[in-house]
Amino acid sequence: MTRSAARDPRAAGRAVRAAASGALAALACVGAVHSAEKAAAPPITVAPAFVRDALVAPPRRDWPTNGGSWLNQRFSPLTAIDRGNVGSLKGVWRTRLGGSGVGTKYSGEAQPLVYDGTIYIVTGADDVFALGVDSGEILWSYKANLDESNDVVCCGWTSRGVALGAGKVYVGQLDGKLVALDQKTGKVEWSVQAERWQDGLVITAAPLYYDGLVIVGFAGAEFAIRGRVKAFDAKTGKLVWTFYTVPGPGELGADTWPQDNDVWKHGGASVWQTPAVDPDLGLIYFSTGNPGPDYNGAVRKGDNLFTASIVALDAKTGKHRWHFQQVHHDIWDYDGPSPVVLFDLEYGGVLRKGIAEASKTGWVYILDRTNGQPLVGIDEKPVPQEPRQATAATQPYPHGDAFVPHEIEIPPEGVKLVNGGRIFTPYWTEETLAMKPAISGGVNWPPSSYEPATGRLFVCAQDRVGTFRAEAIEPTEPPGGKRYSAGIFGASPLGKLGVFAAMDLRTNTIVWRQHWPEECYSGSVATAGGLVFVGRNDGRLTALDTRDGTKLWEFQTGAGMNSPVTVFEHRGKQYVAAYSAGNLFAGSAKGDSVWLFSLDGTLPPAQPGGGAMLFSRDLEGTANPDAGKTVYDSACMFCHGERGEGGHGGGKPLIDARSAELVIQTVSEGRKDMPPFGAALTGAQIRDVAAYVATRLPH
Amino acid sequence: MNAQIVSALVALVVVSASVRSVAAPKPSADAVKRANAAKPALVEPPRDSWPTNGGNWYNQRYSPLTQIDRSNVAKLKGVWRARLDGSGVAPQYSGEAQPLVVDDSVYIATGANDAFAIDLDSGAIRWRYRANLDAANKSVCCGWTNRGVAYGDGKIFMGQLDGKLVALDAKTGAVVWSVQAERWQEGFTLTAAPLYYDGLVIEGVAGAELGVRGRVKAYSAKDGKLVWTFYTIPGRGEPGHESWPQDNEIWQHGGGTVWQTPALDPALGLIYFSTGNPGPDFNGSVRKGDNLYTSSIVAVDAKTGKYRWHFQEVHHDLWDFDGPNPVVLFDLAIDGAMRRGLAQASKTGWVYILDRTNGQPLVGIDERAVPQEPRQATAATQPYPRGDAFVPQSLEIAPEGYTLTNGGRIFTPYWTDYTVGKPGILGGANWPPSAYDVSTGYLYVCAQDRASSYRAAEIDDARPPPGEMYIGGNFGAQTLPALGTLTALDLRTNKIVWQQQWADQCYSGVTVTTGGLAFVGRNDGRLTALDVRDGKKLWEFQTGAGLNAPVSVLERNGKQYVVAYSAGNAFAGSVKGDSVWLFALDGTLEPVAPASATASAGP
Repeated sequence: MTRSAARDPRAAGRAVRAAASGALAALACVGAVHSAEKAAAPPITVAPAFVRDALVAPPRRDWPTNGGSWLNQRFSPLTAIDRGNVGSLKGVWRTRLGGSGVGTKYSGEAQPLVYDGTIYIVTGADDVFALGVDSGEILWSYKANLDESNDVVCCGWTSRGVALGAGKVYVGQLDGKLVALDQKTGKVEWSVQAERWQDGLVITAAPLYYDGLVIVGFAGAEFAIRGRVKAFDAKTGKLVWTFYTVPGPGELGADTWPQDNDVWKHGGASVWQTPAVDPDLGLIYFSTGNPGPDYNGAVRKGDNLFTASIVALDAKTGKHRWHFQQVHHDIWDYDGPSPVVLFDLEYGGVLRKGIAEASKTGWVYILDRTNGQPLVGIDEKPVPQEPRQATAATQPYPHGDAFVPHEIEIPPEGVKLVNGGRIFTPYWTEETLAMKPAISGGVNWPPSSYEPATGRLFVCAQDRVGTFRAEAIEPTEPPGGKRYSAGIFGASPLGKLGVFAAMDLRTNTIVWRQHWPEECYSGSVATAGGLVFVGRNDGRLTALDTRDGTKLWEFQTGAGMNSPVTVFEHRGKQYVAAYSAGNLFAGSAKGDSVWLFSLDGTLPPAQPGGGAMLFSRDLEGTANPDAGKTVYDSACMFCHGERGEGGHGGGKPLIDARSAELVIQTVSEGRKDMPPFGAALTGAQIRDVAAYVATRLPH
Repeated sequence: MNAQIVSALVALVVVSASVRSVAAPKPSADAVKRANAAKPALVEPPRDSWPTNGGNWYNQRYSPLTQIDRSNVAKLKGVWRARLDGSGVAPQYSGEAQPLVVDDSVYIATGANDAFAIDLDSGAIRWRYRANLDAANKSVCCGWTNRGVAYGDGKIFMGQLDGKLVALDAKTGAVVWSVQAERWQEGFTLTAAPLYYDGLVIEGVAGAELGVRGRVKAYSAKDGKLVWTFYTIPGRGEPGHESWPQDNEIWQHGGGTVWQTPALDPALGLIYFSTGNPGPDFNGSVRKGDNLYTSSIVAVDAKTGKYRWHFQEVHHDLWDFDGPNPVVLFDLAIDGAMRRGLAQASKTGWVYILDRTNGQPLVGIDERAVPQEPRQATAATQPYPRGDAFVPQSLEIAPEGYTLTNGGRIFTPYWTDYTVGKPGILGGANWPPSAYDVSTGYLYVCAQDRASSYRAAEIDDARPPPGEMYIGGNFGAQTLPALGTLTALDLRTNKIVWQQQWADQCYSGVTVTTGGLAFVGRNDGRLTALDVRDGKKLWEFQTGAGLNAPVSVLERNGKQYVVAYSAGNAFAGSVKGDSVWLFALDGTLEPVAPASATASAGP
């Protein structure tokens, strides 16, 4: 049976061809709820080797690459579902993925791929599933069996998707492996150790398949890595080229790092997302993450290329073509984690080849993708200085509008406001300063979508006060695979608001935007039907009018709807596929569902997921702090640090958390900025982790 | 600030404010009682008692005590915690009452209008009075609550949600008299703490959402006999009546309620209070005109209830911009001249600072043109106080589901489509009292930063049935979180000295001390002490239920105490409780576990 086989450790790395066996197929159906008679699953059609401009046009029948097309536009030209009828969109089927990715530490951020009637999805556990569009059946599954001792996943165990091409499905794993699966069966065709997680390098991005290459970036800028993008031969997994996002000695940009230390070897600039491709120019484009160490710029004087930058490489060779740095000498963790989007628009009457990226800074950077020069205008402006941080003299300020606030009107209690909390306010070790945006953005990883007819980019962002304080460190070489951030950041208790904005890429100005009570943490897909689909932490998938953001449809999926949907046509009918799985950082309820929607669907919305169940649980019995450590390391350490010192996720130090009772309540119900885990952990886990925090961490 | 300067300032205040009272730096309990019985002595900040709701008749909520100060407040602990028999813990209740302390008794009223006397030394309940309110009462708009009791003439006075005003024997809790001041069946409820002054018990009414005509009444403290009535909506032929339509009877349902204890200047013989919204709240078409004396500060003669002056904060209010925060009287040198001031922090997000002898602005308030909506009969201009607003008065980003009109700015008119703006009807300063630091001239304002949306319903000018909801539209609070602000404003300039934003709304009120402390409660159950100079938190103590009432400060037998009522609030969504806490530097009770919504679900 599919699910038990997938759980069986002996099935490691092995796929189960469910559809091949009647018994297996029948059992697989247990996981799916159907609104109609299911048809027999047709055989899987494999994708060709996508070459030249195969995936430049917006997709209709398929969603063959993470961004919909190589331009990463996340735009569907389909019009059958439109403003007039989207209100009647309902579920066709809902398939459960055997509980994969529902543990506390996981996040479901992957966008489904679709090829000729089969859906491919990857969970936060890097398990991959193929589902038949007609029936919702699981046709095969691949179990990654990740090493649970992996302690270099900074920000939730997640995968943002898979790639398709030349008959294979490609998945980048948190353990540093890049794996190619047979598209028909899910069997491993090849598997390479692209990097070692023990060195701090993990893969969270969906790989890019382009013309015989599988191209993937690496995350890990909080773990002293040197960022890189690698291309592998799709046929064999053989390495073709490597591009280091932090240049080595003698290379272009090396002079932006100190010459008297080796911090550049740990300079960060990770790549979290799928590059875009312009086959005509033969270039791939991506944006990069923060420099390392994050919050102490003293040991890395200089601009720190190519961190916090948009970079263009030759797709065939990985050679640098151009770069544009969004933040010089970043000390605010102002990554560029949202996928770059390529577009063609007229500026001053001339059709230009554009590239846009919405960043944690709260700006969209709009460039000419042939040369990296600003299309709308970006000014270098002097910024406040802090010599001990070796701050850059100027920073780039894009013309137009920021899509989130860049200053704070009223000081949040308990933190100091200098310079009005404006963006680029420097800080040092003495005081915790508050400013906007926070390190979480702005725009984080959630992809933007683009509407070609109007030239609008839809941006899914956060509006949140961040706090920053540096820690003094020596520029000694950090041990590989260990946290390397040299500062404390946090979020004020004022909460995270969401901003969903439509930006006109001709002018970089806001067309409309709306404030949400929770962060936007899903990403969007736009359609020619005048709709933009965007998910909510509370489990709703919504469809908004692209013209003004009016909500035209919403549907409760039963778990945090924290990934972008996929839109396609099958047998002449338009569908929307959505992965509803929740998210660690959003604190949303976990799930393991793939939903398929259409206008003639009959499945009603699900019950909202989660909800505090603390008091129906077994909190009695003896707490086991050793078991609690396991829970802590998987669920709490991201934010609170290895020893409760406060860490990368904005968690406050746990120095005062001596009361197990209080920890139980806080974990169950959330507190201030911390999401509740009452839905995600069992009573015993809460009891155990509380005992661990109260008795084992330093107080 | 050293004690000598404070004493000098206190003396100055007393001298300037009252020629009839003799400045006594430390009035004894007997002196307080004597004063209550005969002479106006409650102008000074209280030392060994908290004899009236606002601490003194100026409503300053200021204690001159210095034993607990910035350096030692961190040691403050519980002396005792008294439980009030579970009174007021059900979902509909709110605990907003400030404790009174006279001699060795603490007097408190719960949201159920049950009153208790507690032995200050032991925490034992001396007596209890059960109001046994009629559960069928439909006229309570905003949580079953009571904001406190009054003391005088050996009695405790309390206004009830059922419209009764009762006098209890302060020693036994026995009912001395009880009068039906108004009928709840007609929409009237009593939520304010009464004011006792010179043989009178003075009380306003709530109910502006239920078609009432607002009023303040004075009763004989001896026997409950009505002495005078002041209608906050002038009747036919009276000055101000011209600010209402002459061709309908809406003025008889015009609102202008009084939620709070008036302040008193015995030297001028005037009481001061602020009034609530006009009725119907959200449809101005049936009440063309400025709608005096709604959303106003009003001065009336304490003995007779005769009108003296008024200042309207919002003309023809459409936004429920009540003035529910208690008015504060103060004496300050402004531009070199000692002035008799009055300040009131409003839902608009401004402090209105007036000369209390005549109602004229002290700092400056400009009438400015505002956007018009003829169907709402909007006022052409609105008063804009100079200085700083203490909460945002516009929106940068539209909350989802809305488009922004006029940037969501204050005074944006609307008609039958929802329009969103800041501050909303729950924004700015609500009932939680402000405190005034006599030594600095700073006012501490506990407020909310929150958007609301409004929509009018098309109604005609027919008179509403008695006791029915009469608001003429709808409002919605936004799903965006309600934030809090705590702000220190300099009353000389109406400018912000410091300000901080909270993740929850400030819904408790403030009490300040010469020890340099501002005590303010939190929805999560913490009572905190902040440095008055910059708002830095110096102490916090978890009381186990929403700390949604201002504390009282006093000394007894040479020791300084803080008394707090920890009972939660229906509007703050905080956890309910039934505790009165006494705190001192040598207390031994530790904080309790934080309030938990699930934990309080039991009986």
